[in-house]
Amino acid sequence: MSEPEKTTDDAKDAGGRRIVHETLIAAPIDAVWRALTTRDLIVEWLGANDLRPEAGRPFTLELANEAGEVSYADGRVLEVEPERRLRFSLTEFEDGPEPVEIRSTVRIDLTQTEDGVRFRLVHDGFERVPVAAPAHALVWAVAQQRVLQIRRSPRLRRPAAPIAVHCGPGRLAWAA
Amino acid sequence: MTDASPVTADLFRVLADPTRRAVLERLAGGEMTVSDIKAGFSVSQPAISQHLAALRGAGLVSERRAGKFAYYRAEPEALDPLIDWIDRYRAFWPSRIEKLKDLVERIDP
Repeated sequence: MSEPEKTTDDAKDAGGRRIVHETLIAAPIDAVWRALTTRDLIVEWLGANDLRPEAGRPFTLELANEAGEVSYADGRVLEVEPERRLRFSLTEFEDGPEPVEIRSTVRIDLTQTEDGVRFRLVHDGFERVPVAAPAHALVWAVAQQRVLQIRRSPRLRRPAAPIAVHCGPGRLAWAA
Repeated sequence: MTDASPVTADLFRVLADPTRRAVLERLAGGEMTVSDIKAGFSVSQPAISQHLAALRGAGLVSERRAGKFAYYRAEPEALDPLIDWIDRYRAFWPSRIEKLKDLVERIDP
């Protein structure tokens, strides 16, 4: 892992396309890890989502801004190193005459220090990727339903309706 | 985020003017003074200055003052279609991280 850098330096490195947050949490590292990865806890701080700490697993994350506008990102867990690292990708859809996916990656690193746990979040790798539209409109509707369902019942282990588990230009896969 | 944000709307408004687009194109080649920019345009220097002010307001052009001269250059990042998305995540994370800290304190008092 790289040395701690200042947010502004990081931002400059990526041409303003990198978000970095670093903070110290005065708690044992296992408590922080539990908050990052336990179903009911992760919903409390990150917002409605069905993320589970298993590499390769897709999830949906609800993004609400200050104005209360809600949108959904399609996520995938990329890396899970207990009490050290959680990395996942986020994909959003931009509608228009030439629809695109907005892809990015979030990496959270935890390090035990004398004063507590150093929490470092790096959100970068932003890119726009052209996609086919029709499949996506459907996927987005389904993802939205899935998250609404999670919101209504945060402890729900298994969605009652089929959910889309993978999508790409023109293809869909479903899980019961 | 399919709705145009105020920033995007502002960009469109500023770039709707053909002279401004031409000024911006000219500045893409490198830093210039107002008189450099004016050369070849049939509009007055004050008019060019007004266009530059609008472009600066939208973050499309930046100004550097050196002695009695002001140099202008294009800021192509303002046209980056990813900026709005990144800014939204920039606004998203701080409150989430605060909530995480509160939560951890609660589960491990």
